[in-house]
Amino acid sequence: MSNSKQDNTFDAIVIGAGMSGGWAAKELCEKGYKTLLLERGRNVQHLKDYPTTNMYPWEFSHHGQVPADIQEANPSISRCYAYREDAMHFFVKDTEHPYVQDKPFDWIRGYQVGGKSIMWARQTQRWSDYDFEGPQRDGFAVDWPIRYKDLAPWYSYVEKFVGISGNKDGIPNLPDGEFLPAWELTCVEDYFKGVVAKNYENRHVIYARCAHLSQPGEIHKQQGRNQCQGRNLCQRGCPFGGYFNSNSTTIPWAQKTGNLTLRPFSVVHSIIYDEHKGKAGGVRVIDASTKAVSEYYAPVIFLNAGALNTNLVLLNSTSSRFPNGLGNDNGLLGKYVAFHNYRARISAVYDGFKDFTTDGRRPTSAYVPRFRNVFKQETDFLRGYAASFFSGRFHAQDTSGIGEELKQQLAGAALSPWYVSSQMMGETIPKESNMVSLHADKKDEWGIPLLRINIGYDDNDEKMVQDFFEQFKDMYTKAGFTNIETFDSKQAPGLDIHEMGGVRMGHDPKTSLLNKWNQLHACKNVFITDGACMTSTSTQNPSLTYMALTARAVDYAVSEMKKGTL
Amino acid sequence: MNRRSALRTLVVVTAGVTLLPSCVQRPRKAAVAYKHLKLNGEEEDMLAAMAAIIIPTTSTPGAKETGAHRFALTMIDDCCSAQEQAQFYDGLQKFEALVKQKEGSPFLKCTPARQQQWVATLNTGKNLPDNVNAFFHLLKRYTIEGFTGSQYFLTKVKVYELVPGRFHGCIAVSKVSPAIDN
Repeated sequence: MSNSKQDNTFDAIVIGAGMSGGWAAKELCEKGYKTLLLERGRNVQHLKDYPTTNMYPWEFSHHGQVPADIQEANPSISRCYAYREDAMHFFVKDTEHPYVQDKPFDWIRGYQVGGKSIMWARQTQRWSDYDFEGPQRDGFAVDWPIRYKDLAPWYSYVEKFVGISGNKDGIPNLPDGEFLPAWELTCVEDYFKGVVAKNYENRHVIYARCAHLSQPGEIHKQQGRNQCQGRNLCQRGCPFGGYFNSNSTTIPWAQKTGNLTLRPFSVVHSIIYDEHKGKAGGVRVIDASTKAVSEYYAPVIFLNAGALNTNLVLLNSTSSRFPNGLGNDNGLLGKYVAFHNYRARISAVYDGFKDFTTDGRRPTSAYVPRFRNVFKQETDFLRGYAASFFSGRFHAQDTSGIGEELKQQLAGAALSPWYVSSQMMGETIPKESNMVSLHADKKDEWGIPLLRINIGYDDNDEKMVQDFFEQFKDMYTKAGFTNIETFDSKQAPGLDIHEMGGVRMGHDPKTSLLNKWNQLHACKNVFITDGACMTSTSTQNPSLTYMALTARAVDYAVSEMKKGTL
Repeated sequence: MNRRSALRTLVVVTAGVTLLPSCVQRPRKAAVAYKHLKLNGEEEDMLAAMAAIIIPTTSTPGAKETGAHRFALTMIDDCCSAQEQAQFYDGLQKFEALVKQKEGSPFLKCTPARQQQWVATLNTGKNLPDNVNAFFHLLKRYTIEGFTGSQYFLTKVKVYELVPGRFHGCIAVSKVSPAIDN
């Protein structure tokens, strides 16, 4: 590609080819805009670049385990549940891309086309007004500039394209969506659902909605995707396209229009601010391998680098108009970062349903939507938590013997009792002190300052963990579960992989960075629709909301471009 | 290497075996190049023999045919901490010395019955020198993992399905094949 200004000019630039960037590219390309999609990592093409996807367990030299020297050199990424021998090539090693931890923070990243959409946990629950109205009702952060009605049609739009398996549950704080059929709950999940419904008001156990093609529709067939086979090896990339990732769905869809230019190995240094035009003019890119610097230009820029990297790019985009980072007139850029508290787990066994078990695999479990402080404040902490609910039986492996006795033990088919467990997914309160900034001296190999991360738990989080334990012990006890054990992993923030904020949405340019259309208040042709835009976190897995916000923002950007106002 | 040889000599001497000059030769090299483990060929053979006693070849394959002993050593070499590796090595040395002391010959020269007896003793975990227990249980644990994760085991004993294509949430135990690894 020549480096002339004309050759490097597009109708739109999208920074980051992950979950939300893929959506921005798809929407822009479909609407006829020549779009440059920049990705700092390598290309990962659906099917072609899933090297482990059809491997059997015995084909991995360590049967899945990551060797100790890699773990020791890369402690943060090694704590990630999905960082295993089969998918480790999709994760960033700590040593490859260092950052500075003012407090412990396990920053889990995937630098490639598809980003973390390749390895995500595929849970897709909608937000409701009980989430959007949280900050205003409870007096933290700032009021969200949007409500459920603003996003609901875009949730539907995204869900239809992605393919979401779920049940219509009629729960006000977890709105129903456009669902493909659900997989079955287990006997114990069904039973627990009944116990909870009988004993509690406004508590529900439902099937956890997930981005899987339980029954592909016409649109999914057009995407070349097929029915999910319940392999549960999604983190490797799926040969059936059974779950949603950008690689199988949005990016090929954008490519089909002929309007997409995908440029991997493009490390975005900064967004260029055009002082004459009073808006962003383009993007400065460093080639990941050659380190050559080039510039690309477009009237509209979508910044979808992943929550904290989006903060980093803005902080590093300085100009005489914005000496503290693009759009950062109020000094709040990088602040009010929050995440999900995933520290707490509870497990137990159930002696019932001894004659029953499960057969095959399914890509999700059951889900307990938030029940704390939903309709009114009822505890001494703010907000609440959702939780997973999993149940299953295992082949109990007795390994006490040796010789023929041991062989028989290993081949034995004794089933364990039903095992149940729940993991808390807690909302954390964004605070000014939970923040990211640029390191004053340390730079990466592309000359970009390292990100300093200063994010921790607070008293509200500790109280919430205790409440989760108490409430779930109570629910488990009422269900007759025994051997109840609670576990607080004390894991550092980050390991939830749901870091959000730093460039929050809000009504007022004095207290927020983005308006209700995800435009920077102070630089309207830059849109941010990844996790960085989140004003608060609620409890739901956030990707579905990022995708809906992205589609909505592109729709708005296009209407503004047509009016000539961008 | 020197430190290792010295250590071995020391162990052999404390075990009270007379060393003839002709015996002082470089031990046979291991067949596999380990990153961390310091094993010689005899030790490798002894570990393979022990693995084959833990999971023997019967009418069906055992540790030997499934390569479980090689897998065990790969795991101990690649996936164990330096501390576990040190315990493993120390326990191995002490076990070799103990066998020589009691039997007057190394493990591999013992009769199959005596070898069997020694592995059974280790499996009880009782009255063993420091780290011998840790040594044996690492070997046993990873031999089991190698065996139950082998192609043989996952295709013939408990079938691993790469593409199950079904999920029943509540099915009678009697209707599910015990040979499927759900």
